[in-house]
Amino acid sequence: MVAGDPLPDDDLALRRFDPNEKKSWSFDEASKTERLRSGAFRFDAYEDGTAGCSVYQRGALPRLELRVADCLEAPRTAMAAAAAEAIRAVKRANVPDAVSPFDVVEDPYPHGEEGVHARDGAHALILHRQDLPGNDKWYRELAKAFYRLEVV
Amino acid sequence: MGTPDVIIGSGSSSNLATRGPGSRPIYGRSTAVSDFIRRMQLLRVKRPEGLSSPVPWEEYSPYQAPIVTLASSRRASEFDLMLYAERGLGAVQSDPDASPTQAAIASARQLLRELIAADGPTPQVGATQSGSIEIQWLVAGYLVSVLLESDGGYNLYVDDPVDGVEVDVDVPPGSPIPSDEVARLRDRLAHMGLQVVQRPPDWTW
Repeated sequence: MVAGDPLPDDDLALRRFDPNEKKSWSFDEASKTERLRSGAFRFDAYEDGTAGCSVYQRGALPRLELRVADCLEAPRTAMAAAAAEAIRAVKRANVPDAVSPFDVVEDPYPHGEEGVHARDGAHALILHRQDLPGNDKWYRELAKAFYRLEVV
Repeated sequence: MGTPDVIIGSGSSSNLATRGPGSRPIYGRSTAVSDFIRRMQLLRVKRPEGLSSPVPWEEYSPYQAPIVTLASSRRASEFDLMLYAERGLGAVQSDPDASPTQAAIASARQLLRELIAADGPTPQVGATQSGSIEIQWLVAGYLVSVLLESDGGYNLYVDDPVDGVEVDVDVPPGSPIPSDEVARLRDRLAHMGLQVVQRPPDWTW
């Protein structure tokens, strides 16, 4: 497990969100389920020219003897998930030739420092280059790759 | 006479199952009754010091507002839907992470006026990752979205859960919605409205 390694295609990226923040999700008025929207993502700019959004790597949790529920911040947060493959396949219909700008890579931190939650050992990042024209449109497509995960 | 669509009571918002005298629910027609009550709530008086509100309908009122909930959570007047959208716009404006421009807000209001119709789906307004405004209508996986740009231009987007993206068009600032898109969007939203079975969880005030 090395920072920067891509998540396997079949692994899940877990994005925590606050159900009380309406910018993070919309309510499907027929299925009565929540679906993430672009406001659920927060991308920070890095010095290497990329921007990253924090997620957790589902596949890293068993090694840390953790469950998905350990990645929540009780009692208010909820979880959405997307397969790494789906994140890498995000496209926009009116730019069909564009390669997906997104990748998702491992980013465990802070490498065992005392007092830090063990779940940070499963930290990962959705990355894209900082120069991403129409970024909100891309985030809208990214949100569609996620689904609400019922956590018990 | 269909299913009653409004229950009127008073008390805290957690007490939504309020009943009238004799413990019978008080039922009425949502359009007339809820509009009347909200007009009462809109009575403006001097706001007490220390109270602030980003949106005018939250101004202090001497009227002890009853709680109104649409019992079937399906029917909605144009007024209900516009008010819900305005609450969302107010939330975006008070979000410290968002920075919607006046041009974006004005454009959002214009679009809402064009597209909202009684019993349509609920316009769900929120801040985008870049701090602007997005309006979404979401029913049975069918998504209509408007992303507002800082200059008042916007992107119209319609996504069918089966057939994929049907519309993804950028409209420059100051331009009306393309006429062919207006009719198509209104029809689509009306069709989506027929499938609504429950309004969003915060569809009460």
